[in-house]
Amino acid sequence: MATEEPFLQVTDLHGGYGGLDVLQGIDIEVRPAEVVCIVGPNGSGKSTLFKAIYGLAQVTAGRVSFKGKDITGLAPEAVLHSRIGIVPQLATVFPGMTVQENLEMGMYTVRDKARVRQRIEEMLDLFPHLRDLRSRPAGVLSGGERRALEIIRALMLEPELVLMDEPSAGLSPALTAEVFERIGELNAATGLAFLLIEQNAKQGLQASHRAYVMEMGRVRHTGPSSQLLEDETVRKAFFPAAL
Amino acid sequence: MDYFFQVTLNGLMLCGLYALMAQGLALIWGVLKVVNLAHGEFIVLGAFLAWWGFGEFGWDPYLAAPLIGLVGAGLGWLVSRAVVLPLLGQHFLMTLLATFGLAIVMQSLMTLTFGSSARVTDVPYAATGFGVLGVRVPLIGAVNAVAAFSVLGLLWLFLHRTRPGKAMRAVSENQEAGRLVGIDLKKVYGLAVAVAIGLTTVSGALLSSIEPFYPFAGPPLTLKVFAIVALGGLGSMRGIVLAAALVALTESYVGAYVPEIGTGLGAAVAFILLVVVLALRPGGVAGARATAGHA
Ligand SMILES: Nc1ncnc2c1ncn2[C@@H]1O[C@H](COP(=O)(O)OP(=O)(O)OP(=O)(O)O)[C@@H](O)[C@H]1O
Ligand SMILES: [Mg+2]
Repeated sequence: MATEEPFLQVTDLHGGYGGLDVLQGIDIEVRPAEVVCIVGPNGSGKSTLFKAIYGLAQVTAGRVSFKGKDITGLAPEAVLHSRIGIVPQLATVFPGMTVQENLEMGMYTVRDKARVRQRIEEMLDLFPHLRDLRSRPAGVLSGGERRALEIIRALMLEPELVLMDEPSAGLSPALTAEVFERIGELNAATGLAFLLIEQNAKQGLQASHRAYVMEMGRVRHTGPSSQLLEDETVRKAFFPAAL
Repeated sequence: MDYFFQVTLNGLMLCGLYALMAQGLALIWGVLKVVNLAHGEFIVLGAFLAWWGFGEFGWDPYLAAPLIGLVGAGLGWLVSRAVVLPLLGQHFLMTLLATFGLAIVMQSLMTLTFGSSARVTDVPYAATGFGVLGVRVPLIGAVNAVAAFSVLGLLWLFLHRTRPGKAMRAVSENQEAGRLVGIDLKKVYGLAVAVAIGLTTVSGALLSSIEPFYPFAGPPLTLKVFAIVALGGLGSMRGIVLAAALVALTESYVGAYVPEIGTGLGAAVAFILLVVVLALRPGGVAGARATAGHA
C-alpha cells in the first residue's frame, strides 16, 4: 500500500474568500496510492480547502505541493496539468451538452481526438449504464447518473490524484455504495490516489486508509481511518448520529 | 388571400436576418453574461461597410459579407480587450455603461465618416423578383434568407462541432465547471465577442440593401434584438429562430393590416409581443427547457 514519499502535501495553509481566512493553518498529506478522507461538520472549510488547492479560493499563507512541485495558488488548468483530477461539491455537468460532449470537455486540454474517443470508451466501462445515455443532454440525467458522469469526466485526463468533494452527495445508499466500490477498485487496480470529503463519516472512514477531521478551519484529529472509527472522542464529537 | 400569403412571405423572408441579428447579442450574453448596448451600432456599422464597399468598389454586399464579418470580428476582439474584459467581475452596471458609451462613440464616428443621412445599398437586382403560386418573391429577400440561414448553419456547426465552439457552450452553461476542465476563460470570452460582433456586422451587411439605415439607427435595433433574444429564451438557437419568425411575421402583418401607424410601430411591435408572450409563457417561445438548461 502507501509508501512514505510525499505526494500531495499541504503545509500550514491559510486562505478563504477575501476578508477573513476560512482556513486557519491546514496540514494534510496524501501519499501515493492512498485513499484519504476528510470529515467534519458543515462550514468547517472542507470545500474551501479543495478550492484553495485548485485555485478557486484565495491562499494567504502556506504551501501546496504535488510530487515535490509547488502548486500553491495555481489556476485550475495548471492544477489539472499536474495530474490532479477535480470533482467539486456542486453540480458541475454542462446540462445542455450531451454525456459524450461532457466527457470530451473533461479532456478539453488534449487536442488528439482519437485519444479522447478511446479514453471516453475506457471511462464508460467504469459506469456502463452511462453508455446508453451518451447522446442525452446531461441536464436530463438522474442525480446518480450525473454524479457518475462528473466522476469519470474528472478521470478523463488520467490524473494521479483525484480530489472528490462529497462523491455521495444526493445519491441513494445503493449508488453511494457503487461509487465507493469504484473508488476502491480504481485505487486497487491502478494505484490512483484519492482525497475525499465525505459527509457520511462512517462511510468515508470505511472507504479510506487515513482520515482527517476538520473543524472551524483546522485539523482536529488525524490517523488511520480504522482507528478514528473506533476513537471514542472522535465518535462522540464529530459523528454521533452517523454511527 | 393572395395578399395574406404575400404578407406572410415577406415576414418569413426576414426571419433569418432577424435571427442572425439576435445571435450576436445572445452569444455575448450567454458566454460573458454581459448585455452589449452597442449591439445595434455594430449592425449599423456592418450596413455602412457594405454600403461603402458597394459605392466605392462595386462590391456586392452579399459577396462582401464574409470580409465585413472578419473586420467585425477583429473589432470585436479589440472591444473585448479594451472595454469588456477589464470590467468583468465588477458590478454588471459597469459593462452596461461601458457598452452604452461605446454606442455613443460609434454613432458619432459613423456620422463623421459616413454623414448623417439615411442610406440603402442600391444593388442592381433590388427590384428583381419572380412569381411563385401567385405571390411575388423578391430576389433580394430570397438571397437574404438563404444567406442568413447559411450563416446561422455555420454558427451551429461552429458551436457544436469545434473545440472552441464547445468551450463557448460549456462556459455559457456553467462557468465554474468550465474553468475546472481547464478552459481559459479570457480566451473564450475574447473569441466569443469576436464571433458575435462578426456575426452582427454580417447581419448589418444583409440588412443594408433591404432597409434604410443611418448612424443613429442602432438603439431601436438593439431594442428589437433584445426583445427577440428574451422571447427566444436566452441561449437557445432554436428559440431565437422561432422568436425571430414571430417578430418578423407580426411586424409584417401589423404593417400590412393596421392602417396609418402600422409600418411606423417598428421596435414597439417586438416589445408588445415580448410582454404578451412572457405573460403567457414565462420561458419564452421555446418553452422553459432552454432557460432551465442555462443554469
Ligand atoms: N464563495 C464563498 N464566498 C464567501 N464565503 C464562502 C464561500 N464559500 C464558502 N464560504 C464560507 O466559508 C466557510 C466554509 O465553507 P465550506 O464550503 O468550505 O464548508 P464545508 O466544510 O465544505 O461545508 P459543507 O459540509 O456544508 O460542504 C463557510 O462559512 C461558508 O459560508
Ligand atoms: Mg463542502
